[in-house]
Amino acid sequence: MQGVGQGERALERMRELVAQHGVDGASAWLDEALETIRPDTLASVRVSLARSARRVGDAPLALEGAPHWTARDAARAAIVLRAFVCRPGEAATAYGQWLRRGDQGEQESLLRMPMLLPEPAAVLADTIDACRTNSEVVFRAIACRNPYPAAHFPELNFNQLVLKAIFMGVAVGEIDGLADRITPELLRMADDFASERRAAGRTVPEDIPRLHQLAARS
Amino acid sequence: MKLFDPHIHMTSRTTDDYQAMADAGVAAIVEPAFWLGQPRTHAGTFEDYFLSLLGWERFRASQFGIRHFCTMGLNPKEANNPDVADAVIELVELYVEKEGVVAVGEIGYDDQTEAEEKYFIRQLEIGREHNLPILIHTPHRDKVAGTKRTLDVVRDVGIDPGLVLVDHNNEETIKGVVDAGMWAGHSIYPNTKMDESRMVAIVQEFGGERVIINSAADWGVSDPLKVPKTAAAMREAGIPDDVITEICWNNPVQFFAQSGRLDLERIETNVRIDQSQLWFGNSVLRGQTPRIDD
Repeated sequence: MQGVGQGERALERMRELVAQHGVDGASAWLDEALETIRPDTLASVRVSLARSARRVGDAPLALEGAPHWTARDAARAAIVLRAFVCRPGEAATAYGQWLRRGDQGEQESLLRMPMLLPEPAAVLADTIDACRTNSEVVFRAIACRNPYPAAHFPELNFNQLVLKAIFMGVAVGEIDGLADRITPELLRMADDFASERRAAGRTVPEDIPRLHQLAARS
Repeated sequence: MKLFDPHIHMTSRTTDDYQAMADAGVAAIVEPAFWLGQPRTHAGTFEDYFLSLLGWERFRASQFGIRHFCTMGLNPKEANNPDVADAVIELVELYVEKEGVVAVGEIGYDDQTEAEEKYFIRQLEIGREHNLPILIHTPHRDKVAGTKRTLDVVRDVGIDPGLVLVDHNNEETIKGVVDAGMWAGHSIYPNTKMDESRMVAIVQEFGGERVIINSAADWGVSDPLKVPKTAAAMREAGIPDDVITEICWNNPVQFFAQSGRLDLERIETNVRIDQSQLWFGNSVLRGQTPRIDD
């Protein structure tokens, strides 16, 4: 999501997006919810994340660079950002709890937004773990049109994300920043997978030659 | 005709059941939170079960074009377990906030103990606090007395009867429930309890107003196709189509739409099936060709 910034700046942008795209009363509800998150307590975050679906709605934001975001993603991003602004240490720990105890929509929202955090690397372990769980819906939220993995994942985890995308039929073209992160090791893993498919008499995903083309260009 | 099974425990059913249900016209289901067939020993087990109702089961159902909703609650049997009950109530208070939770339930009496009553009342209050309808389980033993007591409690706590679905009724309990202004659910089983022909007789006597049917299919001997089969039995007996539609679609839709979590327009549309979706690495397909709707 271009030009949104991080921390407080991103929070303001999220509030604007909710005002533009949320259902009736969404802004008022979000501001009330944000007020309950304070330097002395993050206790309200869990219930506010859950309530976002109904109180804000899921109208698409149609943002260039972040085409999958909906109004409730913006609301949840605002809530999480406020938590990090108020109590950064506790929020970094709680993020994993909010993620694992969220319903599908909450998980999507939480995984779409970490690039907006004041210190995005603070949630690296949880976002890497989310890729490991292998749910395509959840996986797409972290892998597709999301700058975070290319910016922060170590080589091993980024390679696994790309391989998983190929494995699942998620187009590698949707992985932001892929060209700059292609390594000989990643190409080796992809080629080995192609070999496995040929040995099984099955088609080789088109994304594997595509990876080679991307590597040749950069 | 689109059919709704508003009480079915899909966590215990296979994808063969989902396929058969979809083929038979079941388009929407409610899976109530219940016990797992044997007692849980940690509140955390309840939490992970609640998460599975919101996650895996919802996803599995969508792979077959079925809209899945659920209820959240501490069931009557496990209300008797002091090691977990209070902690589970705390979880219920949080998990009723999640998407697609259309009622507090299933709650009520099992043996009619004091502990069951305490948590029944508390959860009625939770339903009221969250503006959610209530799904009530009536006992399979001492049913008439248990149902009467159930209705008394609901009245004493002061819950709007229109927000209450009392389930597992039979010929002896339906009248009291309907006269109290509540909705009357009936669970249709293969060999025991209520069956299709008795249900037909009930509908012929009472009509379709606030009458609901379900399969309550679970790990025991039960049949996830009882709603389509009962609809067919009603048709054969000459019950008009509009009454059958009222019982098998409009009534459950209207009842659960009171939660604000069931969109009346969306429920009439088809779930887009994309079986190339995977959930936590466990694709429902095993080497089959994925079915992808446009």
